[in-house]
Amino acid sequence: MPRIALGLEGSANKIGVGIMQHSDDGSVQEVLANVRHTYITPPGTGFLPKDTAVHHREWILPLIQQALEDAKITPKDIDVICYTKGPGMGPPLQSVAVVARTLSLQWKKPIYGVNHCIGHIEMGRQITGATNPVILYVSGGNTQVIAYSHHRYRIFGETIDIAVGNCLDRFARIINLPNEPAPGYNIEQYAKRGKTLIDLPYSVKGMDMSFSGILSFLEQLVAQNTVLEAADLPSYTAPTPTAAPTKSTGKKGKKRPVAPAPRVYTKEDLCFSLQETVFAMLVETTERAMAHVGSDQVLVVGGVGCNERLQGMMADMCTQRNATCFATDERFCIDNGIMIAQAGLCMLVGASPLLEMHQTTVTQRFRTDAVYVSWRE
Amino acid sequence: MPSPHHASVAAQVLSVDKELKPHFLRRTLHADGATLTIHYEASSVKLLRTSVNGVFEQLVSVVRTMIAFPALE
Repeated sequence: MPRIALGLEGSANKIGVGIMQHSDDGSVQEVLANVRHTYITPPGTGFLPKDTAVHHREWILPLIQQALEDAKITPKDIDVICYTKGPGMGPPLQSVAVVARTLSLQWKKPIYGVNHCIGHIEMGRQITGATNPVILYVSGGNTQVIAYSHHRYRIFGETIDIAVGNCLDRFARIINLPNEPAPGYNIEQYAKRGKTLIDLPYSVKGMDMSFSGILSFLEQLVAQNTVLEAADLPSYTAPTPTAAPTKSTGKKGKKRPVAPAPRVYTKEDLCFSLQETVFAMLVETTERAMAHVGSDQVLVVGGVGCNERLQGMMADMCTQRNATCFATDERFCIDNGIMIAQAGLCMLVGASPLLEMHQTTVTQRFRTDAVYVSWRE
Repeated sequence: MPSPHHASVAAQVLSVDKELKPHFLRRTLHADGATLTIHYEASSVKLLRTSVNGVFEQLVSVVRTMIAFPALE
């Protein structure tokens, strides 16, 4: 009898519903449905927890209905309901868990709480066929370099402050890029038109990385200088500097520091420079993990993994090492419900204990290595 | 609630999440026939208001889910 799982994901601003089917022996694994809706806020703003939860509550039921239709199944055919236990934002996670619990009681189906990161990993492995890669998991909420060992997805390196996607998203807000379809996507398009590499802080700390410094640097740079669209550059005239009111020499002949004249930067150059810098940091730490572990495979997962420049830089590094780089497309990179269903089926195969109702909680912090990976050797 | 089954499901689902400040606010739910009773003990009106708002949002979500997806026998 094939096993079918319903996956519900809502840890950030995407609400995703997926239905996955595994054959009896697990050899045939099929995506039966994968639908999603993204909560997009106006340019210059980010998504807040409560509003995101409201969005998810509004969309989750129609999405589940759509998924059942796409999969051509009825609730009776479902074997297990899987929801994202964490990590992520509290209110959105909870809004999805409430629906998962209700369905579990209505349909009398068992329920699994899935780790979001493991969802990304297992879906990436399934879709790409990578057997035992070093995983770079990069999104708006997470940045980790992971390798599998003895029933755990061990975190080799990670951000010590904010996720790389968070850095990108907040920078997009600073320069007022639209959030439709995603801020990172728009940064990528602007970066393609960038020409000048601006020197930005590069912050790799051994196996770990730091991104908040580069964001602060950019915030200050934008505040103190002029930032334009490249298209506006030809028609831009610098404002005439006001007559110097202060003497450059003060009392006792001491020189006063003169503020540097504001420079002009284009959004395209800034996006290009930011990507080149942070992606190089990611490639460096991934390569370091590969060297430690002796791996010849890399799998890039998470929303930032959609970025073609990152995929290209990773592929270049892999070619130099005779390694293979695996990546997925936006259906699976960006948060989705099918990855939760997939991980749930893995847990079922590995006989992970199902949850009692009182255990179907959510948690904002949930380490990737906290999960016992029972389904692998 | 529309039926004892609705009340029972709501009570079970909404009891899972613990309140964040148990010292300042306590909430218990139970179903008695088709009546869902939510019992609150709160140290301030503001805490009470925010918790009640939250619980009602979730309750609406539970009921809507049950309407969209009826119980399987």
